Amino acid sequence: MTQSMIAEIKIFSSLFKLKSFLAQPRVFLTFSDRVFPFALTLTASLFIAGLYSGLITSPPDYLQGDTMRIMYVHVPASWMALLAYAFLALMSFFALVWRHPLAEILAISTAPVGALFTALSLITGSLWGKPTWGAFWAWDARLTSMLALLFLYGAYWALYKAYSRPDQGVRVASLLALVGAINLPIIKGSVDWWNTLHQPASLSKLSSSSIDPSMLTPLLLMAGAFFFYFVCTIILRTRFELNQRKLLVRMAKQ
Amino acid sequence: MTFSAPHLIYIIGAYGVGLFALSLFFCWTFFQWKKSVHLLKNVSRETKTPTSCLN
Repeated sequence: MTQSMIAEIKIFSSLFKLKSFLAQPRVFLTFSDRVFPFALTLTASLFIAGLYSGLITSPPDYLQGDTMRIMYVHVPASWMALLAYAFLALMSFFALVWRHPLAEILAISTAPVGALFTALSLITGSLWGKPTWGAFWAWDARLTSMLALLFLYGAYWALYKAYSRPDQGVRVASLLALVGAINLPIIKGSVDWWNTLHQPASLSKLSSSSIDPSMLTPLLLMAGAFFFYFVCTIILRTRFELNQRKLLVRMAKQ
Repeated sequence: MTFSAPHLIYIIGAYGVGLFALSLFFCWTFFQWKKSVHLLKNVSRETKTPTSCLN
């Protein structure tokens, strides 16, 4: 066995130990106790800064006027809807392969938050669509694939709740989450692969610096606020789910 | 900040729905967690000194 192979094995072994260590609910509770106050403060501060910047200091768009300000709520909600599903699929993979209870609980905790972001993305998108396109809804590829994402979150939750034992429900729902992950590249590519009413992706536009810094700043501030909101709610929901499981065990012992 | 009147309703709608839904969901999650903490404490107390057998 060569030196490089031994080094690789050592790296994989330490990564596996780290993963096992982080997967312990006790470690998560200690970690979340420290992170939660910072995440909550950051969420509030970024929301205040983002709202002030988006509604007061940023200029109106030369074409869409003030309607463009809806972007500061719509785009972060859409990004977080996709990020939440990617996280849900990753945790589902860990739950299926390694049967980590914390990964199961994290996946369950993500589903309602992700569904909220998706619903917000669709509602704010409709409110932006009416003055821009003249219609609240169009069966456009981007809109339809986002609606499919909302249904996926709903189906995940329904499957999880359909079983009396949470561990069984999680396993079946995890399979659906993994299959549903195919929708993520479809959502991302929908504006490039098909002719749609929806404008091209904002991320690729950022890379070519087509958004003016005066509009980019509030967008990134609001994206940060949505991200830390996600962190806060995931921590609270995970702690709630952990308490629920502890309750079930204690009730069974009595 | 001078918003054009015909589109004001959509801007208020988007921000209103967004912030209201986020606040409502956060409060619901927070109280759900708080309730579970209390329930867990009560069950732990009950397990240590079982009172149900006295009834």
